[in-house]
Amino acid sequence: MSKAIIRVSLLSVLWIPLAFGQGESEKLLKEALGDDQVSGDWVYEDIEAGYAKARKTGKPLLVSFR
Amino acid sequence: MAAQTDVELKKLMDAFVCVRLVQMGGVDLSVFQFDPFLSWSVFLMNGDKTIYGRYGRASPKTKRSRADSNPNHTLVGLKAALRKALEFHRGYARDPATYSRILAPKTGRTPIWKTVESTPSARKYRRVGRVQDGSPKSCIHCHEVQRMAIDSFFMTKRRVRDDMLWVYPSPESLGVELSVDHCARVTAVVDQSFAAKAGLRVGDDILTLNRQPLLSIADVQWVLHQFPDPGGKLSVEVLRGGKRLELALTLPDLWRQRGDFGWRYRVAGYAAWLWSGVTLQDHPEGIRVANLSPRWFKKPNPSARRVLRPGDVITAVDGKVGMTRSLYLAHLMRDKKLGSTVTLRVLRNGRAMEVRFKIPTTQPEVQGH
Repeated sequence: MSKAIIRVSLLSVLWIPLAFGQGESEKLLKEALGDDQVSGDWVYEDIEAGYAKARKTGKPLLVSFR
Repeated sequence: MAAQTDVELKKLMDAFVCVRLVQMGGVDLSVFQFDPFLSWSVFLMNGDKTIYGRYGRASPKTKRSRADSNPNHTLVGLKAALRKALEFHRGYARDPATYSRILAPKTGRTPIWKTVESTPSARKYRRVGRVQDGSPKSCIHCHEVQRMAIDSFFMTKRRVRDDMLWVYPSPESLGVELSVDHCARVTAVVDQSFAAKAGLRVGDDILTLNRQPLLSIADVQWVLHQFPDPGGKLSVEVLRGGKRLELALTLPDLWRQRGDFGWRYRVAGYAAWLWSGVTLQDHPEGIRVANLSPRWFKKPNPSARRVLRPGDVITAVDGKVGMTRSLYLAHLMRDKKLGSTVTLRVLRNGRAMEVRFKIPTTQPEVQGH
């Protein structure tokens, strides 16, 4: 893949949270990252929300960097 | 990541709150410390930031930027790690005092810069760590974190440490191979290695290393990454034939330097690779010059490229013999000053000769991939 295509893809993926509301942006980001078929209930780009949700539900956290 | 068709994985994942972080901006590096050469890394932890373990590793087998084709990751291995993390989570809820003590070393030392965007390197290049004003160049990727830390060390006149170069030593550096389908099961032990001398055997399940419970090979690398260079005894608890055994690995002084970080060109060795001006391979007689102009380098040192030829074997560096490519790169990074001269003894077509080149007078440009 050329650098130009990578840049355009990255730009489109990372612009999404800025351009849309949180709920919509998460849905679009998930699709753009190819995560729409991934198991689990995901929080995107907000570790504090993840901590809060983990404390509220009593579940452990899975934090993925990629 | 697997599709929802894997019922067991779905059930395990549903037991977690899952967070995906794509950009490094704002990420607390006092909590999230991981192998920077990754294509994918996972923290399994509590909502109070207590870390149960890590999953995902890099090795010379890692294919660039392809987490789904990474031979170091398997779904079976991931599921084993998830099950073990859930076990730790239940134990922590039952006995927080004991588990806090056991799990505390899974969090690293407080770094000099708590976020990557606060490093002098990020400030110099105006990298905020997240996409800003629509420019993806502002974003800082995982693999850039270590590179920017090293750049920041140069900028603040600090000496680069060995544990910044020989990062996250692999189990192979102990002389042991581990199954990617288990938490930490031994599949091979090299004769006369540290692991062999400690009594590790094929089939052993390593439960703890240096008293830290393990849920993956990444956890093994974390323990090794934290273990001091002067070496010493490293306790190993294994499960063998249903019985728990206590073993001890003895690591000698400068054990870390026996490993190779030369394949981590994107991270620890980046500046050194640029300074060396060439690509290098370890060779029985020294260090072999493989190539002069790798196309993914931006500004390889022209002074070095003028005097070296593909096929040259470097047998001594500034009078030192017995150098590996990692020791050579570390020598450039740690010991040489900007603008200083490097003297190499070289074998070219079977003839010994001496060549000299200069380290550039300015720091290497570390931005970009």
